[in-house]
Amino acid sequence: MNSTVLIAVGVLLYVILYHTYGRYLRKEVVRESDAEVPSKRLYDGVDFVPANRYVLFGHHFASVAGAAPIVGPAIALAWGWLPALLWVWLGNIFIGAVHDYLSLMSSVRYDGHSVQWIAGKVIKKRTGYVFAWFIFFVLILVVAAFGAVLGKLYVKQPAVPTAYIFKIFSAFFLGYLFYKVKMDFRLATVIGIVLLILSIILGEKLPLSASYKTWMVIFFIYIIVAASIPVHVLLQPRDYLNAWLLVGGLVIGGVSMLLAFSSVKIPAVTVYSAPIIAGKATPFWPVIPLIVACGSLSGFHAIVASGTTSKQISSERDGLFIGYGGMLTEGFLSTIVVVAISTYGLSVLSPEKTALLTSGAADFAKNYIGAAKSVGGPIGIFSKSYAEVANAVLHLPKGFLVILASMWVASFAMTTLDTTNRLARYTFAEIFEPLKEKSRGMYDFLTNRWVASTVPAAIGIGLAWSGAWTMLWPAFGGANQMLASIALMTGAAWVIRVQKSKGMNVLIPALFLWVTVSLAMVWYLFVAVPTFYAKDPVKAIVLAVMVVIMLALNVLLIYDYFKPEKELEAQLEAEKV
Amino acid sequence: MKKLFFFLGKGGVGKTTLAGSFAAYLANNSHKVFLASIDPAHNLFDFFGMEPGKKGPVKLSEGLTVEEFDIDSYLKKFLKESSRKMKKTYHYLQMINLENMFDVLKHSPGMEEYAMLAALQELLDAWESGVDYMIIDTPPTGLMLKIFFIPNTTLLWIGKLKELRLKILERRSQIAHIKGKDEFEEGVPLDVSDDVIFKELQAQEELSKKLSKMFADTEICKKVLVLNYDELSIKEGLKIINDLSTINVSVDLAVLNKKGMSDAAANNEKLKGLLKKISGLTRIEIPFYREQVTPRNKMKEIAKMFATELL
Amino acid sequence: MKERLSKIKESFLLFAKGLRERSTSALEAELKELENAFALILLGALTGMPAPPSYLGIKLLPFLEREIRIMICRSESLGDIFADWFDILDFG
Repeated sequence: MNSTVLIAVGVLLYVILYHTYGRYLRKEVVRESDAEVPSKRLYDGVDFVPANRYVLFGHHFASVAGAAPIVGPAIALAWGWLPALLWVWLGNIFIGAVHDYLSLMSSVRYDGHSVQWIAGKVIKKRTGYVFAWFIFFVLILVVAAFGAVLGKLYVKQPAVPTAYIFKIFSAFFLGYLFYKVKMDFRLATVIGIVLLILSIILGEKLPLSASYKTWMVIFFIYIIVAASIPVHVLLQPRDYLNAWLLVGGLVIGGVSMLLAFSSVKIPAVTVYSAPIIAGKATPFWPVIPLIVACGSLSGFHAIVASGTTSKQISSERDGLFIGYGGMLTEGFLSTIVVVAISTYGLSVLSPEKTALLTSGAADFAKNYIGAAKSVGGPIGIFSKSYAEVANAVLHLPKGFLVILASMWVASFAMTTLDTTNRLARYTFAEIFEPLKEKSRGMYDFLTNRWVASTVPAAIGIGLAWSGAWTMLWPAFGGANQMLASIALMTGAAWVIRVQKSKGMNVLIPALFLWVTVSLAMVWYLFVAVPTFYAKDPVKAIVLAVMVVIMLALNVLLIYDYFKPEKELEAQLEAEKV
Repeated sequence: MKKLFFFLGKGGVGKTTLAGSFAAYLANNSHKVFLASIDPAHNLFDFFGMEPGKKGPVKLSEGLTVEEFDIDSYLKKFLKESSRKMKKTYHYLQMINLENMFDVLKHSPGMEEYAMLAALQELLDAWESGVDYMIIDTPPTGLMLKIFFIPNTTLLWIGKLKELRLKILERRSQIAHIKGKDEFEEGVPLDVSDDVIFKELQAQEELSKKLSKMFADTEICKKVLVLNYDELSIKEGLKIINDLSTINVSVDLAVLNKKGMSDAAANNEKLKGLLKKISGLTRIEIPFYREQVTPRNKMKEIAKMFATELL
Repeated sequence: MKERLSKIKESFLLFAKGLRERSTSALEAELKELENAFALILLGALTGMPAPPSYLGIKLLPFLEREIRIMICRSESLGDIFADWFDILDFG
């Protein structure tokens, strides 16, 4: 199987279905019209401001793009490239992109309100509260998952942390140039990019070796500190540099992969239950959504889509392009990741590891994760494969490319770490809202800025301390997909109850997702967690508690979905007349 | 040298009478005096036997001008002017029921003190070169203390507002630098030099500093504390002295007015104890006159007593 | 051909615009909050805060249009702002 063929198939699939299935969704499900959108009808020059569709696409895409569309597929390859790609393609087209598109459009129809708010309207009032709990778990687990994956990467690729540190200082300096000195924007940008490149080069020259646990401590401090600095000092300029990294990484990677014409060297399908999570045989279904999230389906996209995007969209007609198209583009990114590792993954491993992987499909499944670990985990194997491709096609230096790719992913992951911390402050207020009346003192304590900052960071890093990213990643995936579940159910409820249009296209994926994620989490709870318990009882219990709560809330969700409040029904009836 | 006199004290102790007498005495001795009352419950005109309700400064004689400052109308005027300015400036902010809003404002707590302070400021600003002495008859203690305190508390508040405003301007200019000046609508200031608001804040700050300094200046600003020979008025007097000391304002003269009004008071031990507490202050005692004190009789005697201490 | 070129030029300009936004979006969000706070301090009564408007607030009223507009918009959307921050802070 040829890499270019795979990519071409992926692209074709996306494009054709974008136009066919997409058209169906616009017409029959969303019933797209020329009705005035909130950015125009509620224009206030503050939040409701219409934006050009391409700029908004870029904005939305950059917001949802992160490290997850890369890490997830890299892990999923244990099942072989075919299952991974099928999920990235079909899961995205029929579930993920639909989820993003509907979250965006329902928000547009609801005056730009968030999907959390809409859930409270179309399902049940407390669904909005359930939402907050899922967000809370996502925030903790993403720190655990990203922290662990980054830690492993930094240990195996010590050039990357150095490059990242230099990048932070470049961001400080760029911020200074942009906002204090007010240097010409283009000139400052050029300086910024040069500094980025220098960071990578310096990273190569001055690798920073430290133990995994040391990195965990550093991450913890970093999270707290970075989330406390004013936004114009680090966050904003860093965001800007990340955008360039994304552009650079995508362009170099995309071009290289398209012109690679090399053959895929790993098995198409290995075994159904490859040993991924905690070394246990992990059934492809239902667990795949826990592993491959963002490339295919991701809950927090719904939040972003129903956040600023819906308030800025200039016309309902732009919805498919931005919501559905944006997700497909991310799927394309994941496709590239899968194909890159499939073609070049083996050549970055040591001969011993390669031997273990080429002696048959079952052996591949058994040893893939271990092999990936040897080069720095999922980010490691991705960045090395990336470097191989880009070097082969564009003849850029390999060492530089590896760090570039790793830095690209690491930058997004590190950003998520401290952003999560900021968001946690608000989330705490949301979930502890009921305490406000009953125990004011407790409420004040829990929503205190430092408590709300430190607790999720501490739990997250505490879990990551174990280093067991194969355990933590699916936990994060699970929480994220629970979020997607709610969002998709909200979309379904909106389509069926409010729109009264063809809801099956939404309800079926929604229910499928619900069943899949629930079963996956149950499997996780009963198979993976006990294994973890043997190694790390405390952490296992913490995880178990979180999973149990999420499962309980998930059951509540489906119950509430099918038994909406009588008043809600009446209200919806009244609204629609 | 120009001097400003404040007559302070509990209601009913005789501030108006003494202030009026002092003003008349000075005027009769070839000085130019401006006597104003910022007490909402004026009796200044009553004291001079004039028709109440006259607005604006009234020239009683060559050297004496009197004004009962109409705080109420000052406030009304201020709010009306603000309302007019707003209607002119706002484009698309829907400010419905504007007048109704301002009706509420007129009664909102806290506006009177500011209005009084602004009135005082206006008075001081209008202190013409011809006038040597300005005498202010003040409202009852609570309100007057607040007026003394406002400049200091305002300074802190304005300081914070300035900080916030500078941050806003800085952020705007940073964004405008990158996204272009059109990012913000016309009229939205990006720099301190075109920000009316910052200028206003600074002006307020200057004002507050000036007032604060003036109140504390013992040469220019003399504070006369009028007391009666009774527990309550002396206790209140002590409170005034204490509170003012926290903002470096000191009382220059204590006047024990209506001495002998109550025989019982003369032998009251408690009273003697209280009086001991203000023994450090220069004190004048004024006996209780059975007849009404008007500018014609007794005033010379009373006023002479002040002049020696205060001038 | 010319149309093609101009379209490409347009897309580059849009791309550049998008990138510029990437360097100011958090700043803009912060600015709005600062302006909101400034208006609230001086004129919170306009959005229903129990504090009476200050003397200074009324005096500056004619010049605070933008700030007041932002304050009123903020007070209306207060019940549902969480989602916006996922974007501004760049969770992904």
